[in-house]
Amino acid sequence: MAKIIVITSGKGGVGKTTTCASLGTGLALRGYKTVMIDFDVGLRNLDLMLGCERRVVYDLINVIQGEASLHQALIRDKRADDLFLLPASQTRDKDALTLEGVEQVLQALTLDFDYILCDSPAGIERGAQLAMYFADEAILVTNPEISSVRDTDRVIGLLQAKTQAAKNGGKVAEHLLLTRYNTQRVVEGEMLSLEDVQDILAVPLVGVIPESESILKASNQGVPVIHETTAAASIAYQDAVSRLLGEECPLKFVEPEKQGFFSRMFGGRK
Amino acid sequence: MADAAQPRLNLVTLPLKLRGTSLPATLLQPMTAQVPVLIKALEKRLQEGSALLGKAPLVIELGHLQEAFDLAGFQSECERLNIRLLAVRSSDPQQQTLAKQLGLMALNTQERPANAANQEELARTQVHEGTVRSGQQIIQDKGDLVILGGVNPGAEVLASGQIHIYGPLRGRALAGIHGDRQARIFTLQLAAELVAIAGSYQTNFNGDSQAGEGAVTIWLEKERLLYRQLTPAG
Repeated sequence: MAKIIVITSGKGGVGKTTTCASLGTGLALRGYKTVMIDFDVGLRNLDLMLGCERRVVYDLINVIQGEASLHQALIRDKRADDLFLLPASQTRDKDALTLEGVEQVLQALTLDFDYILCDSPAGIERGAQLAMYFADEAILVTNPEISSVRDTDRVIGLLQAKTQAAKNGGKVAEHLLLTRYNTQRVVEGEMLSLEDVQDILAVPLVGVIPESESILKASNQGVPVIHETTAAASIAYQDAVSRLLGEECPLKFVEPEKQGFFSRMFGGRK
Repeated sequence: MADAAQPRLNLVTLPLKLRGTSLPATLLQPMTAQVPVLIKALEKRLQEGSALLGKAPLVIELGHLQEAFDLAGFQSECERLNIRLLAVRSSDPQQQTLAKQLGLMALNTQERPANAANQEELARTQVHEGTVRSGQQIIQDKGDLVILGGVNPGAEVLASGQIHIYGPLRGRALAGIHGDRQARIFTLQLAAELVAIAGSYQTNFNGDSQAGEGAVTIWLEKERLLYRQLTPAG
């Protein structure tokens, strides 16, 4: 049985899709058969992050409506053999998703895969609720700013009320993933600190991803940043994958960097 | 010019109004049927200046007395003491007839049914486990509310009684929502968007910077919300 993990946030633009691509890749590179489902019908992005946008023929809606088989719609990642993508439809809207359809697709996938990552659309409407409905675990992608924290808080409330697990008296396991963390700006008081965020959300932390230009570069190139193994963001995502798998590892990139002479002189972030 | 005593238009279409009401009366429950003993006790109460006996009309309840009661004798003694005996409450038809003959009202013993102890009318305390998240609303319509966790920004907790928050209050807390002015709010840390007690509210109620650190209680005094720290800060 596959573990279903929803990647959600409420707020848009915080790094859900980037996170999904990197975590999915990370899990697959460790040998877990992983499929990522893009629930952002109408605004699909996950294919771009993986650089497979030209290979999309059928999508989630086609499968739900019986116009294509799962086998036809799944796209195998060209870098990680155990990673597959079920893309969203770009031409339809979220009303085309049905609870029964999503359930059938997940049931079929759960037989063949170890992990199913559901990349949720922003917001708390139908699309987001369907993405989280069957989840076993949730990764709450949050930026260190007040609006993002509040939206995540709202989503946690939904996870505790509007999921199958909650309706059966259970609980979706929650993980907090803080993205775009900039220790320098925290020190300067421009950003909420990790402690501030955890104080409000009170959710176990699965990772802190430093703000980094390599993420933007990777997104534009269609290569998940986790592949760039020496980049800080990549290391942080690898650690997040480890923690997701139950391993313990110390937090990195949460203390302000001591700037050396050269980086002070020549500046620039990695 | 129209005569003031003769209005040109008769605007009063209703000569009277009838309204159901309940007015105060004193209920006397004799523990004995011996009228002299009762009268003596009443005289003593009058001497002590019992306001209840002096002003409000008296209703005597006879339902639970086993022995015969001399109602006529009691009535005349009441007249002598200037106590206005108004009615008799009894389920016994004989006593009801007697009361009517004596010019008193005869009331049935049926009261409005009292709520049994196990009925939900009774105030209860609701305990909510965990943090109240943005967008969530916890309401305790009758009784107190205890939150084992924080109340986050955008969350709302309401109770007709007190609200206890074992965590930081960062959202909204409304106590005494049915008008209980004695209701209080307790929280381990005050950084609220809004607090209200019995309809008196204040937004951005953070106290001063020192109070924001420790546990506080908030109460209503002369239409103002006041707070006090429960533990020293730090």
